[in-house]
Amino acid sequence: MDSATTVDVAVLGAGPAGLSAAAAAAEHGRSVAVFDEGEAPGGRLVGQLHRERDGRWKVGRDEAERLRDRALGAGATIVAGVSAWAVEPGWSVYLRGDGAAPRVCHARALVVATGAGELAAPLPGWTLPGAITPGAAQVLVNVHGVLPGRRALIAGTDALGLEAAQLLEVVGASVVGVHPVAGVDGAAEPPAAALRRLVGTVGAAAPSPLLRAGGRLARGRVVARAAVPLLPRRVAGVPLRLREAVTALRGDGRVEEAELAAVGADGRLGEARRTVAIDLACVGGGLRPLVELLAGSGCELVALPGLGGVVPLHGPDQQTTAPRAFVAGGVTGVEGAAVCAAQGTVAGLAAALAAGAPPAVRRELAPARARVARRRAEATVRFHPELEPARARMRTMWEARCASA
Amino acid sequence: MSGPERIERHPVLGEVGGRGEPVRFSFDGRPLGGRAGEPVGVALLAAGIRALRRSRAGEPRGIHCAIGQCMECRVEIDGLGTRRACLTPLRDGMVVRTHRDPGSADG
Repeated sequence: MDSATTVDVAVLGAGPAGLSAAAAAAEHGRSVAVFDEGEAPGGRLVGQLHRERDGRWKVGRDEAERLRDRALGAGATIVAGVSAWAVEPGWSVYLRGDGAAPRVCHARALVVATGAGELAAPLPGWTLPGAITPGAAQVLVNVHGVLPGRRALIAGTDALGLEAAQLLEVVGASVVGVHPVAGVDGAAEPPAAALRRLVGTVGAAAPSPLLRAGGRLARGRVVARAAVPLLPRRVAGVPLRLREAVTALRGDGRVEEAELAAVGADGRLGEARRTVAIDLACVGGGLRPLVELLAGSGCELVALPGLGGVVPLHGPDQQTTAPRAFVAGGVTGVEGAAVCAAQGTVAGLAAALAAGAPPAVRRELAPARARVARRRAEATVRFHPELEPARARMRTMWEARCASA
Repeated sequence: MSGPERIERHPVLGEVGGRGEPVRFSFDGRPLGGRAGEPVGVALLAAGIRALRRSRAGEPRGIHCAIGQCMECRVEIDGLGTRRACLTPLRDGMVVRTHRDPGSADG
């Protein structure tokens, strides 16, 4: 490619949403270029390894390869190892890379599928080398083939933390525990509330111990003041320690130990501290949509905590408030890869239409939208308990804006 | 504890990591080996090196997110400049150094 290139549809991000958008637009005769910072397409999928309830493994990189092959087969161009650092309405995408990639891409329609980034919990010592995110552990082990430590502690009790713990044990590291993070107010999430949240968010994905504990909760046999007396010691094969919070990570130039405190039924921490020797800490604080590139684009942004934070205001065809700009995947709210891919197809069809595809393509939008709803209903992990109300709120906000425009 | 190490055979995925040819590079003058095309930060981690830069206060920082978003793994690479170690492919003969912010405590 030359230093400037022109296409019908530019797609930012080659994860499940971006690749699906690229395939859908290219299958309808649009010229499509996909840009991604990673060395290979697939986004977060390439690091994902998920154990199904029947014990089988779902391999993210296999799904990533299928999506990539579909996009390439339809004629899309995928440019990996290049960073998009600005977009201008019209659309122009400004790029930077060490290779021969173009410096600017002009496009009639834009699909932003930048995904979501991990947040670190504000834990003293989180910046020490050896303190990484749960997603980083997945990428280092499953993509790059390096075990980042031999004795790990997981700080943060959510789906990502549990998956990282499970993975580290499978590849031979020892996991001392998956612990809640102590807040700056000297308290942690009360164990019963944490269990209730876990059942509501990862219950459908987790094997029986969590569900059994959840069932007892639902039947009212676990009373909050008893601090989850029947909580299983191991969930999904990993040691879940809701009654002991991490208060700090310490070490000389790298993570060497974690400091822990007992969590009372009300969430308050006990006075006593104990330390545990580790050489790896996975510190998770959830995921947030990566909206930075949209900041100067004219797309209106709104804050909806149930979607993970600030997201672009968008409609049912993944359209934004800026002309011929569409969004799909984690940037619209934190959800699993299957939902992201389904959204990508909708965005790709809508972008193709905006970039001159025949009007008959419009007929494919309704079934594609229905697939998003189906994938959402089938999801075994919900990243936020308030996801559905937040999606409903987004629909209301979009309709209100259309009515006033 | 023996620290980070390469996974020769992943129990679920089998072959993982780059299969590039062995190359030589250096970090702060120390000669090291890695595989061509794998991220510089991965080669360093496999060699047991986690501290890649110094903060303004002189504190060590290393790989945090591993996918280019957090910017904590910055290193200096001859001929390229400041790069994210988790994204930059390793090449034979690369000269890599700890990144220091201008005006940092130990710079």
